Amino acid sequence: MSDDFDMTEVGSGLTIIGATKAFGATVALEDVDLRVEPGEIRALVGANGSGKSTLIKALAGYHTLDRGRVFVKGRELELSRLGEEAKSGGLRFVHQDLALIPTLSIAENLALERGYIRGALGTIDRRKQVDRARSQLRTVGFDLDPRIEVARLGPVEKTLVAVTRALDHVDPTRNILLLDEPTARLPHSDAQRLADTLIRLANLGLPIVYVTHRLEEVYSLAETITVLRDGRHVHEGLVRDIPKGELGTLISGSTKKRPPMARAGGSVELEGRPPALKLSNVSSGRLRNIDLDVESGEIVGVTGLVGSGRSELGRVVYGLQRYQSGQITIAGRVAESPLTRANETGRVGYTPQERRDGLMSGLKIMDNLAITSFAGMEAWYGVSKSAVRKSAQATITGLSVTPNDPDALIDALSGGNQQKVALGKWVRLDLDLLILDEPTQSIDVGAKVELLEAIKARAKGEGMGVLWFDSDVDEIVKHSDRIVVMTDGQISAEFRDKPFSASDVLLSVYGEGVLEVEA
Amino acid sequence: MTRDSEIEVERADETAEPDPGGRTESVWGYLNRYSLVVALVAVIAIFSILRPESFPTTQNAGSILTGSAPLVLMSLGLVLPLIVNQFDLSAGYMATMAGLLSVGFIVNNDWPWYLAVIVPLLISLVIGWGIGYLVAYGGLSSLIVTLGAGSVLFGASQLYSNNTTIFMRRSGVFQALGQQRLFDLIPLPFVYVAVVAVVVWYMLEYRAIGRRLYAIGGSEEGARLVGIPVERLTVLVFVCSAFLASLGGVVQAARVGSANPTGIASLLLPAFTAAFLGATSIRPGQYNVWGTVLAVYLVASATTGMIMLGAPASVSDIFNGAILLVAVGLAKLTARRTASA
Repeated sequence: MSDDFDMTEVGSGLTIIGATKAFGATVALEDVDLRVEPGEIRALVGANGSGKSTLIKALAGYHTLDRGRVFVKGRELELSRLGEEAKSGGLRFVHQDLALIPTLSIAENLALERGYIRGALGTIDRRKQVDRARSQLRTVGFDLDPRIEVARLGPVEKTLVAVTRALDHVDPTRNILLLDEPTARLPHSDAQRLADTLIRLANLGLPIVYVTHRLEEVYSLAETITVLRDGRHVHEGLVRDIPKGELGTLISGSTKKRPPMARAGGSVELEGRPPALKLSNVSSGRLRNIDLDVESGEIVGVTGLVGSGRSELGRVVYGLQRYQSGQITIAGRVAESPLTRANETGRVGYTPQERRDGLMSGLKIMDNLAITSFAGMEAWYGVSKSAVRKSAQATITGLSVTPNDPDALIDALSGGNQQKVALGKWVRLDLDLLILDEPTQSIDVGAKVELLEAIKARAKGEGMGVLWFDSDVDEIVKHSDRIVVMTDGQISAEFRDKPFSASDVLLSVYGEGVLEVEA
Repeated sequence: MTRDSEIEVERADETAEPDPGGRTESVWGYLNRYSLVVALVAVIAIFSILRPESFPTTQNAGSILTGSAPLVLMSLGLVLPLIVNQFDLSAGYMATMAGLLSVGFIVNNDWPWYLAVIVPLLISLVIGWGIGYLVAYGGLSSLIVTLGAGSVLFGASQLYSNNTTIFMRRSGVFQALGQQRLFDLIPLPFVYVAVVAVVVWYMLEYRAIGRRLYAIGGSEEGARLVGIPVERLTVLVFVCSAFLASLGGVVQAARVGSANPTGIASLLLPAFTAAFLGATSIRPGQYNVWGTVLAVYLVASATTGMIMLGAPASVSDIFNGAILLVAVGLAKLTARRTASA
């Protein structure tokens, strides 16, 4: 937890001192220090929103740091053109989204970065291209046929190709590797293969920064660790100095109870109303034996790591994905295919994680809102434009959408306002159940609060059940009536008593669950 | 079950007064919206001045309205798949087939006129359904499916007609359907156009189904997520497109009293031109009925006028191709302008 670096401490790897970045009023990074020396694998860990990805993205040039100093091999980089300088300084990245082109072969994907080998007439020499790709893969230690189309590779091979591309021509004495959750989508056995490669490269002297949510990887892979929390580095040191049980606590913060949150009234007891949702022993794909109830008027927050089956559960409940066994009951009716039911009765709503899937581009706000149901907007001749407009006006005023104009094109709105419309088309209806998958992702704080308040009001007032999937534990803790944690396709913990402690929830997301599975 | 949103009504009251009157439209926006009307009026005015004795006559107006009727029908058919981002390249050959069959049934089989009209239309429904099924449920590209289907239809038409023109041998109800005027004033083909245009416009603008089609065009996945039966509606647009194309083919055959395996197929490009050009006007950025109708008559008036001025008939191909490029460019520009507004 050394706070003051001086020039003598600038090592021969990567050194970041006092990195600070604010997005409007939100401080994403505050005085963050990070260093990695040749041959060192440093784990960079922290909860969602702690600033890990912001830091990596700033180094890659996606964000510009407000303050801070960045040194590579003792040479200071210019902050304003950090992206280019980092690249020429030898920084290589594997981002979470691997950025491969699925329809091209491995060799072609590698060539996109490195360039093509051309023959006499400028034609591409495919044979040499494949040979070079093979040797590129071998250098890094992978034995893959470079002619295979990337789409046909499994997640681990895809990650390996992305790593190879980042490591292409890697010079352990010159390059620095930064990986952002490369194992998020990999099974443990495959993650181990990647780990072996990284350890081998580190032994050759390559400095590696490794962002992960999997705490067991920290212990098996990394030598040193930097923990971020709320945009600050809260711990820096050797991994072996941290007892296994304490890492989760470090990530989630103090175990102090948070102040109780203001509640929007207790759940309305709606006599005789069946639960909004009842899952009995549901299994499907990654999901195993899920039992879960959402009472009418209740907001149930579901959280868990990427790959825990969180989003999949939402898709199964909405009927986008079939379930193999068990039973799903929505408002007392057994739902074979809830999507069809939603369509017929307009009583189940769903907002997907991808915002663009919740919007009809090229259409007006009012048409985006009306599309869920035209009931109540019909005149003798059909759909009444003025009724559609009037209803839209009420919805967007209630949600403070800017511009306050039902005729504005949805494409002209900011992300937060688009998300309000995407939700508004459901919230305006009288639903039994609303399923939200990361509803407040990448929208500003003000908009976030307004959206959640609107959803709460609807749940409490009308008895709508809400099943809310989110990786942002703070949000879930603030706004849920009950919290469920998923691990490896199962429900691993449940919190019923308010006020919830974010650190307890985080602990069960990051700490115990994952470590127990490994142990 | 649904009711208009009253989310936090208190807040609604204290924040903003809804102001539907606040949607002022700029002069540019207004001109843009009615650009095709302006252009049509301008074209009519120019040629009326240049050829006062032949252009502004009821006879010429009638011939433009009738002559373009099959094209309007085909264009309106194409608009439907275009709304959901699909292309129907089979429309020209669909029209060809329907025209040939209707004349053939009368000439070769002595069928009564109503069967000769209805049976080709029914056949086109089946073919349209097949195309739609392959696109919606087979996941095949509509460009490929309709290109293939069009080629099959073309070959079949050549076989059926022995590659010659089939002529009606005597006049009857069939030709009357294409040549008579309603109340001795409005050519019947234009009546069909008007009826079809009103029906399609009404369905698109005032029925839920139309709003859903535009929603699919905006985001297929988004539409699916709100429970819109995307596949079923995709099949439907191809059925409608096939039906309107073959209706155009039958009207054309009735109008000229003959059918051949090549003539009307060449309307495919002008039909797309009209749909694209139509999307720049009335509802800029969206494929729409009245824009398409106006576009057909704009192009038809301009080409007729130029031919009257002595331009060779081939000018219409050049003109159509050029307009298509301009229309697509304009549509792109309009979409960008509206999006960034």
